[in-house]
Amino acid sequence: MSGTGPSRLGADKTQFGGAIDRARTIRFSFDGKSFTGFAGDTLASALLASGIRTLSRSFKFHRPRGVFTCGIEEPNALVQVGKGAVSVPSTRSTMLELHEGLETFSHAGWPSLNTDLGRVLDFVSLLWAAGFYNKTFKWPSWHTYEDLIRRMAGSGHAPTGSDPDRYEWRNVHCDVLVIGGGIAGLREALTAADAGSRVVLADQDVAMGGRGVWDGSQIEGTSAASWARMAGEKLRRADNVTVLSRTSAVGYYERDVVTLLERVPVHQARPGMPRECYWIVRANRVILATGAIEQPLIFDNNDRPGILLAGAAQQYLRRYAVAVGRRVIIATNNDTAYALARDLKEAGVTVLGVADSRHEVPQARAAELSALSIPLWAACIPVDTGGFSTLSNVTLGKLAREGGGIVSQERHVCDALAVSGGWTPSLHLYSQAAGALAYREETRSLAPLNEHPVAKPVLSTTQQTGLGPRHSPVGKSSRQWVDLRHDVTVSDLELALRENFTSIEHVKRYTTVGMSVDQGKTSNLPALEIIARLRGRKPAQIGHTTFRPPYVPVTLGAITGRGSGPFFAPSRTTTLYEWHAAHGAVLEDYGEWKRPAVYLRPGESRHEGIMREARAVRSSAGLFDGSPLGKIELHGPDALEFCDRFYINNLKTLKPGRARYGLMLRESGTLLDDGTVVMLAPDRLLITTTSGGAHRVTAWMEEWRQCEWPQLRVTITQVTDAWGTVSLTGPRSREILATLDSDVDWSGTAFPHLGLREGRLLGAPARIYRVSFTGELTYEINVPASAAPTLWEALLKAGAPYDIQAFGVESLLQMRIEKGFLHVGADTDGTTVPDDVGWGKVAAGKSADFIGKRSLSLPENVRPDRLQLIGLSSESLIPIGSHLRLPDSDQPTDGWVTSAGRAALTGAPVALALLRAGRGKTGVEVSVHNMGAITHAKVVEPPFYDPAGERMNG
Amino acid sequence: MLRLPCPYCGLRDEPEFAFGGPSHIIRPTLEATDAQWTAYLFNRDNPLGVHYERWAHAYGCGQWFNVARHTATHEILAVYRMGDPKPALEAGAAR
Repeated sequence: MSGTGPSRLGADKTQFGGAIDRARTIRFSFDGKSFTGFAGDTLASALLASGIRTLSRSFKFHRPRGVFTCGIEEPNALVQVGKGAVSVPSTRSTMLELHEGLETFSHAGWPSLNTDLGRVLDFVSLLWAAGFYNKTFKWPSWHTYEDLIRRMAGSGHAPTGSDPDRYEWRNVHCDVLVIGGGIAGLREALTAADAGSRVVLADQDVAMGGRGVWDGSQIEGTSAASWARMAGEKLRRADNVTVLSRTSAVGYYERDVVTLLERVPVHQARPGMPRECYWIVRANRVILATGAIEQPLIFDNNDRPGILLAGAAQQYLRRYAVAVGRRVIIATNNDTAYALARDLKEAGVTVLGVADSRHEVPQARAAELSALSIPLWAACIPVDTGGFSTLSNVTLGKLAREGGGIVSQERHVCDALAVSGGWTPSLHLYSQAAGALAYREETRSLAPLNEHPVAKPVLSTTQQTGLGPRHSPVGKSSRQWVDLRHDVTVSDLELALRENFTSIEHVKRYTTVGMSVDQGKTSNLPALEIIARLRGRKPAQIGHTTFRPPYVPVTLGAITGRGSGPFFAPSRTTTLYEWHAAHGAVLEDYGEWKRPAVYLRPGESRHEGIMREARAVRSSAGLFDGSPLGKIELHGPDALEFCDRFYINNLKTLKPGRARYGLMLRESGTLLDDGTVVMLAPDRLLITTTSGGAHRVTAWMEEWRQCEWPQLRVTITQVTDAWGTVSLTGPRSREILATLDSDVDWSGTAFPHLGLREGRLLGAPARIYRVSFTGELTYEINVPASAAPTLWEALLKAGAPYDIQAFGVESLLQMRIEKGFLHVGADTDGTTVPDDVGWGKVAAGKSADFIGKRSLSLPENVRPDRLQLIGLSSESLIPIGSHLRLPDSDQPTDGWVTSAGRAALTGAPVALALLRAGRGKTGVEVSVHNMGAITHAKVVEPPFYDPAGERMNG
Repeated sequence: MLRLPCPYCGLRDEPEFAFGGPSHIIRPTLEATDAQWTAYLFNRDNPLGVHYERWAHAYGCGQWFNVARHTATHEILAVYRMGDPKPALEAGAAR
C-alpha cells in the first residue's frame, strides 16, 4: 500500500477512494499529533488510513475503543473538536469532514489515550454494574464521588465561552418532503418533482446517493454513482425542488412538522454564513427513505478496536480507499457482508475467511467465496476475541445443530473483524410521527405496523430473511457488550430483570442501554432480543422503547436561531430614550422596557442619586418619562358598563373630565392590576394600567368582550405607544406649566386632583390628568409620542429657575412607599385580595357584579388572620423580604416586608409589609428576621408622609 | 407544534395562539353557593379523547374561537366560532 498512511490503498486502485481527492492534502491534528488526509476524508477515515486504531476509551471500564461504523450511528469514536468557546464534545469522527487545521482531541484516557490508567476500572467492572450509583458510592453522600466519576466517564467537556457562531432558521411549506437522498429517496423526489409538486429533499451525507453508490451496484445500465449524480443534478436544476445535503432530519412533530438540521462545513463557510441552519418544514406528504442501520453480533469481548460493522468496512474501502486491517475475518448472519469479502480481496487485503452463523449458507454465496479462494466457515460465530490494546485474535465457535451451545472452537490471528448481524430499517421518524412499529420475526427487525396518513416509509432493500443467530450461545455475559457507548453488557440486562425491571422502558432506564448520544442505533435491537430471550418471550411481545427527537444531537444555537443576545427578548424604548441616554441615565430593564433607573451625576453613588432626585421632587419639581404606562381606550355606548365590570370601584358615577383610581381582579378575587379610569366622554373611557400590564389587560378585556359579553357594544384599543407621557410633579409644577403656551387653566380650582383636561400645549394636542404616584402635585401630560421630546426639553427649560430635575424609576418607586401607594406585584402576590390592601370597603360597597366579586366572600378570603398591608418604622433600613413575627406568635412567620426605602426629605427608613391581621396591630413592635439577623420595627398606619394628601390634592 | 386552523386566517403555527381552557363553561351567577363557585374557578374535566377548547389568535387577528381537539393524538376534529354551539362529533374519532 502506498498513499498517505499505512492503511491507505494506492492510487492505482481506482475503484476505491471515490470520495477523496488525492490532489488536495489536508493537515489536521488528533491529541496534539499532526496527521494528513485528503479532501473528502472524515476524521475517522483519515485516522484509520494513518494506522490509528484507538480513538477513545469506553465510558465505564476505560477499555480502548476504535471506529465501529461509517456513519451517524457511531457509538465509539467520538471526539472533542476545537478549543475554547467553539469546542464541541461527542462529535462523531465518522461524520466530521476534514478541513485544514482541524484540531481534535480524544475524550478520555489519563495520562494519555493509549496509556490509560483508567483501564484498572475494567478489572473491577462489577462495581459499575447497572444502577451502581444507587447501590455504591453512597457514604457520606454520592456527591463526594460524583465529580470524579463524571470526569472519569470522559464525555468531553463543554465549550468555555458563549457560542460566537451564527445560526439561522428557515421556514418552508412543501407538498412532499423526502428524507433520505439515497437511490430510493432520489427516485421518490424525481417522481414528485415531475408531477409538479413542491419538493424538499434532505440527506445527511455530503452528496446524494446514500450507501448504494459505494457498493459497486448498477442502476438502469449505469453505475449507481453516475445515476445518483445525474439524478441529483436534475433535482438541483428544477425550480420546484430544494435539495439539501449535509442535512439531517432531527424531529417529526405534530401536524407533520419536521425539523431539519443543515450543517455548513468549515471549508465552505464564508463571512456572514451561519454555522448551521434549522429548517422547520410543513409538508403535506413525508417520504421516509432513511435506509437501514446494520446491527452487530453479540459475543465475548465484541468491543475491541478493529471490530467494526461489515458495511462500514466496505464503505471505508470504496469511499476512502482505507483498509481496516491486514488480516481480516468477516462474521455474518446474512448475505450482505459477502460483498466486503470480494472488495477486500480486490484491494489486496488478506481475508482469512467468512464465518456465517447460518447452518445453510445460500449456494450462490458459497460459490462466490470459493471463486475468491476464501474459506467459508458455515454455522460459525465469534465466541471471543483477544488483544489488550487492539484486536489480535478471534475465536470462532461452531454452532451445534440442536440444543444450543458450540461443538468446537478455533482461534485465528487477525487484526480486523467485520461483523454483520443484519439490518434494521431506520424508522425513528416514523415512530416520532406516532406511527406504530413492531418486531417482525422474518427479518428480525422493526417494521411499520400501520399506515400513517402522511408519513410513508420506503423500506430498504437490505432487508433479509432467514438470518442466522446474532448471539454467541456461550461465554461470560459480563464481557458481552450490547451498548458500546454506555458500556452496557448482557449481564446488566440480566441484572435489571433479576431486580424486576421487566418492562423494556424500565430496563432501558435502569441499565441506560440505548440512552446515549447514539440513541441505541446499534444497541436497541440486540437488547430487545436479549431481553425477550431472558424473559422467555418473543421479541414482538416485548414492544420497543419510545423514539424521541432529536434523531442526532442538535446544537442549542441552531434551535435558538437568531433569538439570542439582543434578539432574545425585544427591548422597548420611548421617544425620550435618546435624551435619557445622553444625560447620565442608568438604563435598566423594567419588564420589556429600557428605562432610566436613576440619572447619575459624576461622583455620586446610585443611592445618593436616587435620594437627590426624590428630594428635588418634594422640594420643587421633577420630570418623569411615564410613556410605558399602559393606556387603553374603550369606545362605544356600552363602554362604561363594560369597564365597570372589571373594577372593584363603582365607575358608573364617573363624570366626563374626571379620573378614578381602580383595582382590577381575577375571577378568584386576587389582584390583577391597578390603574386609573379617566372618562373622556360618556361613551369614551381611557384606562391606564401598570407598565407591564398593558398587553395583559388588553387581552383580558378582549377575552371577556368576545367570549362572555359579545352583546356589549364596545371597542378596545391599546394606545400605549401613541402617546408619550411626561409626568411633571412637585410643589412648583403649576408655576412651571403656567409659563408655557397652552389653553389649559392649571389652577387648583379649575383643574382639581383627579381631573382631566384636553387642550393644546406648545402647539400640540395634549391630554392631561392629575393623578399622582409621588404624592406631590402632579400633572401627567400626554402628547403624541413624537412630540414628547420637545415638551420634555421645554419643561426642563421652563423649570430651570425652579431647579427641576429629571428623575428615574427607582426614586419614583421609593417615593410612593412613604405615601403607602400600592405597587401591584411588589406589595401583592397571587393570593392578595382587595381587603388585604385596604380596599375591602370599596369592593363591598359596590352592588353591581364585577369580575372577582363572588370570590371575595369565599371563606378563605374573609379569614380574620389574613396578611394585611401595613407600614413599618424602624431605625435602620429593612431588607425587602425580611420576615416578621408578632410578639407571642406561634406561627413560623407572620408576614414579610414587601417594599422598603427612605423618606425623601428626612432620610428615615420606611417600609410596607404584609402582616397577619396587620391593621389591628398598629403600634405593636414586631421582630424582623433576615438571613439569621433579628431587628425590630414598629407597626404604623401608612402613609408616613402628608397623610391628609394636601400636597397632592392642592 | 400544533398548527391550528384559525377560522379567519387559515392554518397557522401554534406559537401564534394563546390557549384559553375548555369551552362551554357557564359562569354562575352571584347566587352560586361557595361549592358551586369554587368548582367554576378550579375544577375542570381532563378527558382522554375529544376536548372542546378555546383558542385566541393572539399574534394574528386576535379573535377567539373554539376547537375540538383529541387530547391524545392532537387531531383537530372541528373548528367553530366563539358563541357557536358545540358540534356533534362521532365518538372516538381519532387518527
